[in-house]
Amino acid sequence: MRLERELMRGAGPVAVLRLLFVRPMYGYELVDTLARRTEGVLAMGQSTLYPLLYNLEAKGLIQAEWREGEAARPRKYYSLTGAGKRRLEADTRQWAAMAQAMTALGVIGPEAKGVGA
Amino acid sequence: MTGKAAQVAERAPGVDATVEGQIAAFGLSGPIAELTRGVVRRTRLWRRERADLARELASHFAEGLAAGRSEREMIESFGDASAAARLIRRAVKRRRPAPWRALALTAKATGIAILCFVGVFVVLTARFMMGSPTVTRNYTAELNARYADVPPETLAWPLYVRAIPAFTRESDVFRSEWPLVRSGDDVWQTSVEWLRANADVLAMVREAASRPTLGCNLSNAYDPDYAAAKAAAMGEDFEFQPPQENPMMLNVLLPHLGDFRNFGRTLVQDAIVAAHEGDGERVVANMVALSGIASHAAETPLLISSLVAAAITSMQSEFLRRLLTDYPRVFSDSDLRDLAHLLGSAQVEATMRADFETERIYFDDFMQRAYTDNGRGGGRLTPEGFRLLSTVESVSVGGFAVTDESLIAETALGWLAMVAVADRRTTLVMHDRLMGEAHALTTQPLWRMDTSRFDALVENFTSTPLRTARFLPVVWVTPAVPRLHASMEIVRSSRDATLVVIALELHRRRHGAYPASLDELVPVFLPAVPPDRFDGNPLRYILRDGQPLLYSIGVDGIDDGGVPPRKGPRGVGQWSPPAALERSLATQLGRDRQSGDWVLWPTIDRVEE
Repeated sequence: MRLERELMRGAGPVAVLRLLFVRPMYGYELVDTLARRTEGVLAMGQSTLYPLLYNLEAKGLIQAEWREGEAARPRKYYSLTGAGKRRLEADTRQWAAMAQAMTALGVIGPEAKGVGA
Repeated sequence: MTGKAAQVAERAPGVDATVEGQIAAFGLSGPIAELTRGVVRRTRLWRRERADLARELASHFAEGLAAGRSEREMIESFGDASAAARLIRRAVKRRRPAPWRALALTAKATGIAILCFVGVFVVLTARFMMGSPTVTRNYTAELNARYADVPPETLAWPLYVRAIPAFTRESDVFRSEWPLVRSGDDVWQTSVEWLRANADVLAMVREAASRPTLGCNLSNAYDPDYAAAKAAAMGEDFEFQPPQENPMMLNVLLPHLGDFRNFGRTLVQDAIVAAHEGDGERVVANMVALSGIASHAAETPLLISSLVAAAITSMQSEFLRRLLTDYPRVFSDSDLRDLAHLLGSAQVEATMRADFETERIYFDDFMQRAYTDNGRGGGRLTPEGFRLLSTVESVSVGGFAVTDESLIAETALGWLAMVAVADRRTTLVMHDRLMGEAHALTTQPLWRMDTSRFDALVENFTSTPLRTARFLPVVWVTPAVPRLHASMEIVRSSRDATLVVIALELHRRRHGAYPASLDELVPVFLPAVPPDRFDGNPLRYILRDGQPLLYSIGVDGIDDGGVPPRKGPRGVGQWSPPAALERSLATQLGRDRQSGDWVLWPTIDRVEE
């Protein structure tokens, strides 16, 4: 299952920030990791990922750097900035609150089984 | 990688810092290379940005292919290329330097503003230029229709026209002194000779004045007979100018008003000469003729005509008092009674009324020529209206004075005037209110005249330059109503005083002395003691050593016991609104001219300047 556009617009940036929190990644690696680790739910094509990355970069949340010689071909790595880390912390708290609220409402969690989850 | 190397890579990534170079550097070809090329091209980014983007997309595809994914799979998972290009462009532009973004935003806002302005300009200009007025009324024809059933031989105008050449010769410069030439003055004898030589012409004027109807058609061209007579008298060639079928009231010529004032001054001077010669019959005939001329002037229902009529009546009253001072014996009792009846008649009363309602004719005619008419009272300013406003008033829009009637001025500023000037209905409503207040004001006697409502209304539509522009047509036609009404009231006051003087003279003749009080004149010689129009009390009268003194307290409203102002005209002085009068009295010059009484009889000469 893939997310509706509106949900993806909210979840995509925080998902990317979270992956970059662990270590710098290049574009293809981000696409691949997102698809694998979310079982396709947050799979996004280049047409979605690169505008998302450039927006985060414009906001100063991530920074980019071309690296050559580490692999067979040049890669552009993205990493979190200080502002990106603070934004991730804030977004994480909000998503946790959201998950808690949705659980309480039975949108997710054990009680959601009868609804369609 | 060293910092310098990374910098170089950022500025010139890959082997070749072009899109094609980047695609080639990653070994891409076929559809996947075409996809990369297409997306990058659609972004319309800067060259360096496009190269960097091409490098990143190529790197992405190369990684996928190296990981074992097929070319087709990579293309399908890319998503919508157009949407990607659009979103990438938007995102990359956000990364650009802040000054560039500020400049771009400013340029964009300016562009939008210019576009909006041009759009508004085009729409409003088109709307303005397409507007045309609907002229439905021919006011001159309607007014001239009054004479359709009047037999031509009973009209006064043809006789006046025949008399005009005698009054047109420029060599008679001494006539400019009339009617103030008295026996003993340098030009007295010359004046007497002129009046004697032109006795037949004056008889013609008296005959014309005795006719009930003037019959001077309103037109934008001179009456051919009138113009020919004038031209002949001045030794010029007469050139006939055909009149317009429906001329604008504003362009109607009223040359006879100037001639009437001329006739009036001549008749008064002739009355003075006649009185000096003991010819009472001629004096009375001239005074009667003055009323006829004043009535003829008032026949044209316009404010300017009313003012000329009132000026002639004022001259008649004032000089009758002078003649009763200097030559009382020239009048028989019967003459005095006849003159009293004449001055108290409705005919003379009608010459002392500032009828502002008639100004509607001017205004309605202007409106029908200046505005569109949607048939329900609404409409907007048209190019014709803009031209009219430009010719009668210097239209100032945004500080730029428009007096040019050219198409450029119309196109550039006409639409602005259309927006700034109120629509037809609003303008008519405002003018109606103004005329209503003017009419209400003219029903009040001078001592109770309250100008506050009228002043407040005028203030309402002239409070700011924008408001003035909005009601420009109304501002344009707004007369100085309080001052005009005051002028009429002062003429009425003069007429009333003359009636009292006639009654005093008749009393003296019957009883051998002047009365101790004006009340003694009522009802035998006077129906009632007229009010002093400056305070509503009876006109002031003092009998000192058997000699009468009749006076009004004058513009300052203070009874000075019949002492005239120290300087300025011997008459009433200039009436002013109370606040303006107060300011005037605060200065020595104003006090000298305004602080004093208006001595009505016996008449006194002009006080020393």
